[in-house]
Amino acid sequence: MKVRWAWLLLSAVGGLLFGFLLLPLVALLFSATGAELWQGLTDSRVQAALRLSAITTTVSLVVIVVLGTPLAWVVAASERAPARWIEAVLKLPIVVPPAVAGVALLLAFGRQGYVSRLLRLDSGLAFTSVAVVMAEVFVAAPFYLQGAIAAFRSIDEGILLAARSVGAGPFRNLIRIAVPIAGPSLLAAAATSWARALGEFGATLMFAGNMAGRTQTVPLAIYSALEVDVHTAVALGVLLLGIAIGVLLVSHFLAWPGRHASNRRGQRLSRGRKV
Amino acid sequence: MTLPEPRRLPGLSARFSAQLGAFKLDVSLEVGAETLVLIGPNGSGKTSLLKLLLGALPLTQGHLIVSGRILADTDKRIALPIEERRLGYVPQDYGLFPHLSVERHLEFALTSLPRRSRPSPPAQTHQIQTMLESLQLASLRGRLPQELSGGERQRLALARALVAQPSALLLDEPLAALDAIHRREVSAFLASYLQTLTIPTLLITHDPRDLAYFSARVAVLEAGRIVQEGTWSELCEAPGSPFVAQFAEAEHPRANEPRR
Repeated sequence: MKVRWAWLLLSAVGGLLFGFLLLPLVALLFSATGAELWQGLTDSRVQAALRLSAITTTVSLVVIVVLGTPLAWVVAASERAPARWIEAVLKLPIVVPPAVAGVALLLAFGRQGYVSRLLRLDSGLAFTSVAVVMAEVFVAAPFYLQGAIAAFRSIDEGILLAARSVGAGPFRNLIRIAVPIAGPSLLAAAATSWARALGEFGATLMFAGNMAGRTQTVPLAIYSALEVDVHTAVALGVLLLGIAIGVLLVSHFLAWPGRHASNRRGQRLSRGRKV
Repeated sequence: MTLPEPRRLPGLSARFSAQLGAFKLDVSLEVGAETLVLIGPNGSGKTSLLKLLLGALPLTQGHLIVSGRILADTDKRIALPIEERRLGYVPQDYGLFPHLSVERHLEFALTSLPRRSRPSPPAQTHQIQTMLESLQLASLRGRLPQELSGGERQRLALARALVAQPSALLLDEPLAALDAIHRREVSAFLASYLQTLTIPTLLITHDPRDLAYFSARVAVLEAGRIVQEGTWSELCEAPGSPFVAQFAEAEHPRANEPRR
C-alpha cells in the first residue's frame, strides 16, 4: 500500500512537468482553423521565408553531411588524446547560447572579421543568405557529428578490422562498410540536425539579420509576424511543429530498426530451443 | 637485446614485447606451414597477441616477420599498417558485413587489394568461384550473413580471409560463436580444412575442449607469456602449469600426433 502511494506521489510530481511541456504545443495546434492556417501560409512574405528556409537548410544539411561524415569517421576511429579533445570541442556549439554564436560568427566573418581581412573581402559575409547557411551549419552540425561519431563507434570492431585486413584503406572502409552499416543512425542524426537548422533563430538574427526575402527564415518570420498578424505566426508555428513531430518519428523509427526484426525473431527462436 | 636476424624461410616468426597499459605481453613464436593452437585463460592476452600480429596494436620492442617479409621491426622503425600486412583474419563472431552477400564479401576482399596485385576481373570471378566451392558456399552466394547458419558464417569468414591469398591466417575464437548442437560438426570441418592450408595458421581459444578437434601443436599463454608448447598429449603428460593440469585432468581425448 505504501509503495503504491509513493508511486502515485512521484507520478503526480512528474506529471506537472509533463503537462507543462505538452500544454503549449496543444494550445498551438488548436488555436487556428484550417482556413486560417491556409491563409497564413499563402501570404507572400511567408512564402518567401519558407522558400529561404527550404533552400538554406538543404544547403546546410549537404555541407554538414559531406564535411561531417569524414570528420566523425576520423574522430571515431582514433583513440588518441587529440581526437578526444576534438570531440569535446565539437559539442561546444550545443551549449553555447545562439546569441553568443552570432557574435562569434560576426567577429570571424563580419566586415571587420578575421577571415574577411585575411581574404580581403570588402563587405564580409554577414547579413547575406550565405550567413544564414553559416549560422545554421554552426548550430546544427554538432547534432549530426555526435550521432555519426556514436554510430561509427558502435560498429563491431571485428568488422572494421576484417575489412582492413583484406586491404581496405580508411576511405574504402568508410564508403563501402561503415556508412552502409551506420546508415539508419546517420539518417536519424541528419534529420535531427536538419530540424535544428530549420529552427535556428538567435545566431541567424545576430549574424544574418532579419531581411525579408534574403535572410528572413521561418523562425524569424514568425518573430516578425507576431507583431503584425498573430494568425500568420500561428500558421508557421503549426507548420514547424508538424515538421518537428515528423522528424522525431523518422529518427525514432530509424533508431529502432525494423529491418533487424527477422534477426531478432531468429534469436528468440534459438533461445527457445535451448530452454 | 639481440640483433634481428633476417629470415627467408616461409613461416611466421614473432619475437616481441608490448606494454598495453598495465599489462605486458612478451612472446616468442615460430610457426611454419602448420596450425598452431594458442590456448589460455581469459585475460591471458590472447586477443591482444592476435591484434599485435595483425597490426591493430603497436609493438613496444621486437619484430614480426612473415614469409621473409618484415611486417614490424622496432629496431628498423618498421610497422606496416593492417591494410598492408596481407594477413588473413577471422575475428571473434566473424565480423561479417551485414549488408553484403556471400559473394560480395569475397569481391570486396579482392577489390581491396592494391592495384598492382589485384587480379583481372575474369581471374577474380574464377578465384571467387574456387573459394566458394572449396568452402561449400557456392549455393549460398546470394545470401546475407543473417540468413546463414553458424557454420556457414564461419566458412564465409574463412573464405573472405583466404580469397586474396594471405601469407598467414589468424583466427580469434572461431568456435566460440557456435551452439552446442553444431559445434562438433563445424569444428571437425574447420580442423580438416586448416590441414589443407599451406600457410602459417594461428588459432586462439580459451576452451580446452576445442583442442580435441585439432591435431596441432599447442602453445599455452598465461599472463602474457607462453608457458608451455607441445602436442596435446605432451601437455597432458607433463602439465607445466595449474591451468594446463586442470584441463589435462578434465579431458582425455585421443592422443594425436601433430601433422608433419
